[in-house]
Amino acid sequence: MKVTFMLNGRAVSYDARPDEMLLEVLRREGWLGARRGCEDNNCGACTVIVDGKTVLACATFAAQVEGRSVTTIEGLGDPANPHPIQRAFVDAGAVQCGFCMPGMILSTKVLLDETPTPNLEAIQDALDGNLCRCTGYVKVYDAVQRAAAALAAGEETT
Amino acid sequence: MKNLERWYYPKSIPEALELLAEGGGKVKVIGGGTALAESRSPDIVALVDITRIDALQHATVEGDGRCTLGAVLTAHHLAEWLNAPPVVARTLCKAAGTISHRMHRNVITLGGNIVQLYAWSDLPVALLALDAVCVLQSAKNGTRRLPIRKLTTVHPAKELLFHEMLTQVEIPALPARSGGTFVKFARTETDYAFATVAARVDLDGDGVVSDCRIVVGCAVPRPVRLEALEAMVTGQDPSPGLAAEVGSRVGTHIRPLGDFRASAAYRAELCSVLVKRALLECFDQVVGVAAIERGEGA
Repeated sequence: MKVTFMLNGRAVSYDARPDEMLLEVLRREGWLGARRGCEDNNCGACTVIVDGKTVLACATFAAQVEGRSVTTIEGLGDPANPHPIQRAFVDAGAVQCGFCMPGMILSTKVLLDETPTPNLEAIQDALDGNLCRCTGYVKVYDAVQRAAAALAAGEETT
Repeated sequence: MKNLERWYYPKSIPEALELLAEGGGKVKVIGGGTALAESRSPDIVALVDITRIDALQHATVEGDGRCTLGAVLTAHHLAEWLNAPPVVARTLCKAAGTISHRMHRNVITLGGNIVQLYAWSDLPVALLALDAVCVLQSAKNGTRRLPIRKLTTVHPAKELLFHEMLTQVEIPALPARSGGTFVKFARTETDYAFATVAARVDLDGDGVVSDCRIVVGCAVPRPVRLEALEAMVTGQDPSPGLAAEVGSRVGTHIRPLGDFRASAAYRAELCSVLVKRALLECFDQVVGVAAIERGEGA
C-alpha cells in the first residue's frame, strides 16, 4: 500500500506493507536520523514528531501517519545550519556517541514548543523515554536549558 | 499480522461500526496501536484507525460534575486535563500521568487501555475507583452501557462482541465531600509497576464514611476491587488507625503475581502499605474538606 503524508515539510508517498512500522519505511527511504535502537519501546532512539507530538517510530505503524505531518531530525537542521537546539546540545557537551541525540533533540523540540522555559522537573519528564548510555544526562539537561535560553533570546528557528 | 491487508480511516462512529460489523471479526479497531504493534495474529485482515473521529475526542464535565470522555483521548491529554473534577484529577488524571513515558502517553488511548487490559494497565484501576461506565456501540446491537467492574471481571476481550466498539467512558458525579488518590510503586518512572492502588472515600454530613472504593492493580492479573475491605471503611469515622487496620488485611484478600521483579509475598506486603497510604491520603482530603466546611480549617 501507499502511505501519503507530510515529511519534514514535503508531501511524500511511500510504499509500505500494511503491518510495517514507520521506522522501517523511514529508514528504507533514507531518513536514517530515526535510529534503530532497541525496537522494543524502551530506548527512544527512534523518536519522531507526528502532528506536534513525539512518538516511537518503532511502535507506530506506517499506515498510522497517513495524512499526518511527520518531523525527523533531518527536518530540524543540518551540520552547516543547525537548529538552535542542536547547537545548544553541541555547546553544552551533551553529545558523546550521538546515537540517542535525534530522539533527545526532537523530544526537546516538542518540550520547548509547549513550555518555552521549563524547570528541571519538566525537562526530566519530557526526556524520560530517551535513554542515553554515555552522558549521565546532566549535560543533556544543561543543553535543554541553554536551548531554551537561546530560543527565548530570539535565535532563528526553522 | 501477516494477513493484514487494509487500513480504514473513518471520520464518524457509524462508519467505523459498519466496518466492524461487515468485517465479521477479522477487522479490528486500532487506537494508539501500542498493543497491536506486538500482535502476531494471523486473523486480522484490516484495521480501523479510529483516532480521526471527532466524536471520540471529547472530555466534558456536566454541571452536576458527571464526566464523559471519548475513547481516543490520549493518556497525555488526560494527564493534562485541567477541567477535571478534583477526585477525577487525583485518580484518573494522576494515573494517566504515570503511564510510561511521553511518547507512549501521546498515543495510548483511554479506550485502548481499557479494552486491551493488561495487568499493568493503569487507567482501569482509577476508573474502578470512580464507578466508571463504558459505552459500547454496535451497528448490529445498538448501544449498551457496562460498568467498568463488569468489563474487568473476566476480560474486555471476552465481553466485547466483534462488532462492538468502546466509544465513551462516563464517570458519575461524586459527593462534595469526596477524596481520592492513585499510587504506584515501580523501580523507575517508566518500568512496569510492582503494584498500583486507587482509592476513593466519600463522607456524609456527619463526617462518617458513606462510601469507599479500594482497587489494586499490577500486582494481580487484572485490577480488582477489595469489597470486603471497602465495607470495613464504610460507616466508620476516618482515622489513621482505620487506614492501618484495613491496610494490614490486604494480603488476605488478593493473590498477587510473582516474577523476577518482585515475589508474590513482597507484592502482598507492598499492597498493604500502598492501601494504607492511599486511605490516609483520602482521609486527609475529606477530613480537611469537612473541617473547612465547619469553619475549623485554614
